[in-house]
Amino acid sequence: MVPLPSKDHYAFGFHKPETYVYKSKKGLDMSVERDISYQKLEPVWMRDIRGKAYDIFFSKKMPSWGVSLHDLSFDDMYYYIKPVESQVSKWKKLPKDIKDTYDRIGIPEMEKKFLSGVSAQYESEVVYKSVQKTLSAKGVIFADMDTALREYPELVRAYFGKIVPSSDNKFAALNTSVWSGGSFIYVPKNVRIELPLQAYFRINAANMGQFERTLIIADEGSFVHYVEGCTAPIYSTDSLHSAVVEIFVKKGARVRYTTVQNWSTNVYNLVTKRARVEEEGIMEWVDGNLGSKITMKYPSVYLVGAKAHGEVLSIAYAGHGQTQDAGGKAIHLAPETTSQIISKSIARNGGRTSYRGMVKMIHGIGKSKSKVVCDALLIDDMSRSDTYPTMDIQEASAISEHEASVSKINDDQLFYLTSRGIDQQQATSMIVNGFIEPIVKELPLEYAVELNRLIELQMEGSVG
Amino acid sequence: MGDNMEKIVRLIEKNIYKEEFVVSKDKEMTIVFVCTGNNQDVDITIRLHGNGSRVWIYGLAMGSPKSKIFIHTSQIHESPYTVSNLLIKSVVPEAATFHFQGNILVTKKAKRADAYQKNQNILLKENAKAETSPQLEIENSDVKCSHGATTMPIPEDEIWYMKTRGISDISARKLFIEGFVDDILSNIPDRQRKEIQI
Repeated sequence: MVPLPSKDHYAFGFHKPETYVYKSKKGLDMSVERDISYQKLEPVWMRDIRGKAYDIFFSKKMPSWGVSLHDLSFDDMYYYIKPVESQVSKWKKLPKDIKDTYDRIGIPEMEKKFLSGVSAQYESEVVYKSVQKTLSAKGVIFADMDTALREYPELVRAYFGKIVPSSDNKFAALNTSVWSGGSFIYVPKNVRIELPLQAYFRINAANMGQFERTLIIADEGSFVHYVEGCTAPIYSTDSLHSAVVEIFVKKGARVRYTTVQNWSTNVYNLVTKRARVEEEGIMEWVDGNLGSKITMKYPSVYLVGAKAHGEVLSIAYAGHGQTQDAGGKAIHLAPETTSQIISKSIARNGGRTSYRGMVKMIHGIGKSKSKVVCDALLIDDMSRSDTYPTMDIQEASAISEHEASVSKINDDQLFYLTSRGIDQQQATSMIVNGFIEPIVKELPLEYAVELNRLIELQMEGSVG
Repeated sequence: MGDNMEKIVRLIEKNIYKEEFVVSKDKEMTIVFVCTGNNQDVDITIRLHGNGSRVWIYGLAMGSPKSKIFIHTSQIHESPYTVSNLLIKSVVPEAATFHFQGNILVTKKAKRADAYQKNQNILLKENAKAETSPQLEIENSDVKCSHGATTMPIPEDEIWYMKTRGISDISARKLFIEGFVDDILSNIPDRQRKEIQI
């Protein structure tokens, strides 16, 4: 194992001077929301949606459950920053300091590895995008949301806000009213995209809220794997990240959505992710939460067609001052639907992890099956772990299972490893990596490597 | 039964029932409760107060059709070396609702605590409902704590097995239910067990 720098060293904790063409004023009022729409020259219907969501946002109360969000101030944030004049399609044309930032995360290497299209988000908008020709030849649309709204308004209009309406929750309303950036993917019938599509993004301005809006439509019999990874520089004031992701899985299609989130530890990460799965469709969420101050994220699958399948795999790591409130939801609305939620969490150095989940099976859906497993590892006495699952079963022929466990690192395992000459720290790190292995092996290689290294880094100095 | 052991049996008929048990140092307690009413809200709290205290909790809800039963339990580990084990079972008939909310709280002081919680529900008819939320709140790392919950119909392969041995469908189902609830009822002394009808 490679020795790593000290435990408090945050690998991506740097930031570059801000360069932007347009920046909205601080805080949110009617004019900010209008400004965003005007700056982007959006169609009238989108302006209407933003306007309505704006009202809903103010009429809704903060969630009364879960993590306390009283430190969050909506008035201290910038809601829209437009980074450079227009989008660039060539890597070379990117401004130097933006390119520098990406170099440090390692985007160019990724390109060399022929990963499908890199669409990187810097500040509020996608500034760099290189969709391979093969993708467009197959009729696949992979664009940022703003471009999609301009070029395919009807397609966007038909699906936008249909699974996550703005009245769903306060943060969905906020996102709908001030969204900018995010990805749009349309995969035509029976098209399979073998390489994962990726978008890298990163918050760079202090107090900047990022409100991406992602929409994925997988038409009948298609397949797509979308990967989203975030690293953010450290700032002294709080930033808010509140994205909305909507995914439509049509008959027999399969979508996998992978996220590795490593925001710096002052970011509020409050995300609404939901997928609607039709007949024989498969939806898989793979979700890694390592950074942020507070994360509240419960990827959901709505199984609306017969034999649909939904899966949520989630890892959470909470270090000092962090709260990871993650989990998953599976709503069974059709016969013979199946779902599986696997959650692993690690709390260390005063961190707090929670699993919060929901399995619902409505009456009359016949034989359906659901399984939930959540395991938590507590490294020391300062940390805390909670499990809050709910299973609402209204169908007598349905089968639901749930199991959860909370434990510390097994003394026997530690003894076994140390007796073979491995020092205690390395042994601990090995056990933790083994604990999260079932989920890490589902990640694309680069992410698995990155995640393993991050866990190792976090485990430095955790013993003694 | 030794001096350190205590067995408490409650046949709960009241609609609203609340009780708290405190287990003191090195004591071992077994609590068995059976809900026999139709519209019930039962709240049982167990505080493992003394060092090395241990508790076994068994609960059963057998509602009648259209009944509504809510069971709420709390296992609070306040001291080191405490052990708690909970098993709640329910058989939910036609149009009935069963609701279970179980809490395990392991406080900072409760080193080496071992807590377990299990909830199993059988839905008899299509319009029976069960909602279960087993919850863990762990503030200490040196613990062993887990829970499990299942909700399902009577497994048809087990009925099929009995039927191939010449047992009629109806008695096979009856046998299965008897076996299912026996995990709870076998903990009740015989003279009290007579009072319970299933």
